[in-house]
Amino acid sequence: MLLSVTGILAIAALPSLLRELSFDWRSYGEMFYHLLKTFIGPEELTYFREEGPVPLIPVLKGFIAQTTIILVASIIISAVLAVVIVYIELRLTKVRKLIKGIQVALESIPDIFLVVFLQFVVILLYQRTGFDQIEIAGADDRPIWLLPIVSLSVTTTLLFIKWLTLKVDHELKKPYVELAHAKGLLFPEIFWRHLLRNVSMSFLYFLKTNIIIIISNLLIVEYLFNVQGVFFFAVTNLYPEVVAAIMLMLYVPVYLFYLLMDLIVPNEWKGV
Amino acid sequence: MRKRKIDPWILLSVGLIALWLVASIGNTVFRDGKVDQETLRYDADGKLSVAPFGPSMSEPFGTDRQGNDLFQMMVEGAKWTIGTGLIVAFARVLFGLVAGAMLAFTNRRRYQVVESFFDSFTVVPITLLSFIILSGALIFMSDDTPPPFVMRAGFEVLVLVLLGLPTVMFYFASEARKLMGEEFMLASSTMGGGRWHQFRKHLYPHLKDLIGLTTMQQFVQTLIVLSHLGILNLFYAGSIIKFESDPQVVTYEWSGALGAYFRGFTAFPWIFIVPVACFAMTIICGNIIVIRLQRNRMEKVRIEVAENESEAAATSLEPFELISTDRAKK
Repeated sequence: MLLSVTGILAIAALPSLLRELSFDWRSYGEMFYHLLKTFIGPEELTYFREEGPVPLIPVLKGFIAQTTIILVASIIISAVLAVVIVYIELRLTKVRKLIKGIQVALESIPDIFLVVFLQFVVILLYQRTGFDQIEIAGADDRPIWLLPIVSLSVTTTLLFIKWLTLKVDHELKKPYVELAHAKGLLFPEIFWRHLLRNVSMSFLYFLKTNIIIIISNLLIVEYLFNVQGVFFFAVTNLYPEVVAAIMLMLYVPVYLFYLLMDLIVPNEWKGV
Repeated sequence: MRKRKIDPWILLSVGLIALWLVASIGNTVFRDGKVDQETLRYDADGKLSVAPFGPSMSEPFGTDRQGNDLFQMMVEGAKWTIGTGLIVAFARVLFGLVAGAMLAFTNRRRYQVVESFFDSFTVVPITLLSFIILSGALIFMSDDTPPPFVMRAGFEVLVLVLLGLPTVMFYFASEARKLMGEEFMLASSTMGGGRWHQFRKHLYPHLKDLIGLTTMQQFVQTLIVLSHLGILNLFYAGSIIKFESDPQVVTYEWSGALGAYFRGFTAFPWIFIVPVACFAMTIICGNIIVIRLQRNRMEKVRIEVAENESEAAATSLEPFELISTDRAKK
């Protein structure tokens, strides 16, 4: 844990190592020491504005809220959607090919295009019908929710579906499904009650290794929609302190969550 | 064993990517990398009109606001974007394989130390990291003269390689460690096989299958990062920002076009769609190769398993025996 924090600080200090394409070890060392002092030691965490140093944490609060809500909402929506779509695929074999095709097509489109396309559609909608309830860009006092969540959910859902299809195929071959069939349980019941429960645990592990993809997309979504979130803040305030703080804020909750999970969840559940 | 057939899908995708590269290099060699520019033009009625022009017969993709022919721009830029993607992907896999193998041979404790030091790479996006590092070094204001192009490009490639390295390294290391649990590894080290021998004779043949797959995955990932950086106005080999104007594109590479044309999307949609389409097409090609490679691999494993099963069935003594552990990769 301590090591990974050090790793983060070492990365955050990197920009001062590379000044004008040459290596400057001294300034890197100074910056690293400075970051260590502010994050582990007593010194207060500040960042620089035109007026002078400003405490960072209160400023960041609002940004964190936005990012967290969008991230968590998208993950939940995508998970639900993915389960429903995979279920439909399994039940209605006729549309299976169609859904697969749409999936592959959507997967290959860069997310940037998706975002811009959504903005374009909303503008067109406004021009044609005068419907202006959907924000296409955020600002300080006007948070934007709908479109970032939608566009982030699309890519995330695709990711989840891909994994879930593999996992479910794998799961369906297991003996307990066969037993359930033999006992006369219907497919919906097997799927919703037994299979899903068994899959849910490994979903969390899947999420741990793939959350980086979701976060990368979130970064670009925030930038393009002007979402007042941490990544937008990071890109517009490129100071090592800010960057280190944001990286820590991303990393520590995820780390703690999985640490807790490791401790709480009984071992038998993990083997799935 | 059947004769190995080349997958037509892979062939097609590789061909398309190669076509871009060849056309792009050809443009540089035969036309000095020139891109036709036409700012003013008389239309059919003899009226004067100003760039940008929409797609037409002579310019299939239309022109941008400076009147540059977008098709020629894309062709000229392809070698930078695709080339960077390929170089970065190859370098990551090469160094990742070596470092991963070395890591696999170290003891457990040291492995964990290294792992937790780089653990943040599983959460913090590469786009953010590379943007932080590169923006300090590669965004130039017009009053100071930027360092030569080769250095800037090399620097960017270096950063992209280094940032992607930990993931690749740990992937190979964990694969190698899995293999080292196998009996033949134990046998090899008991009989005095050195590390180099073990790696070359026993690990490498198994990891070989993964190399092509990982390279293509890294290629796609690098392209995505490049496109993100372009949107963030950090162009390949650096942006040079002139006073009170948009950052200028140094080469005609795609990510720069993406960033430069993004703001005018609603006014002239085709200008922005062209680089996006180019990116999308290349990424699709990459993804197709990845998917096909994965499928072929799975099939190979399935055949092996089936063979083992029939073999095992013939030789097994006990009524029930675990025949194979699940080796199919997700």
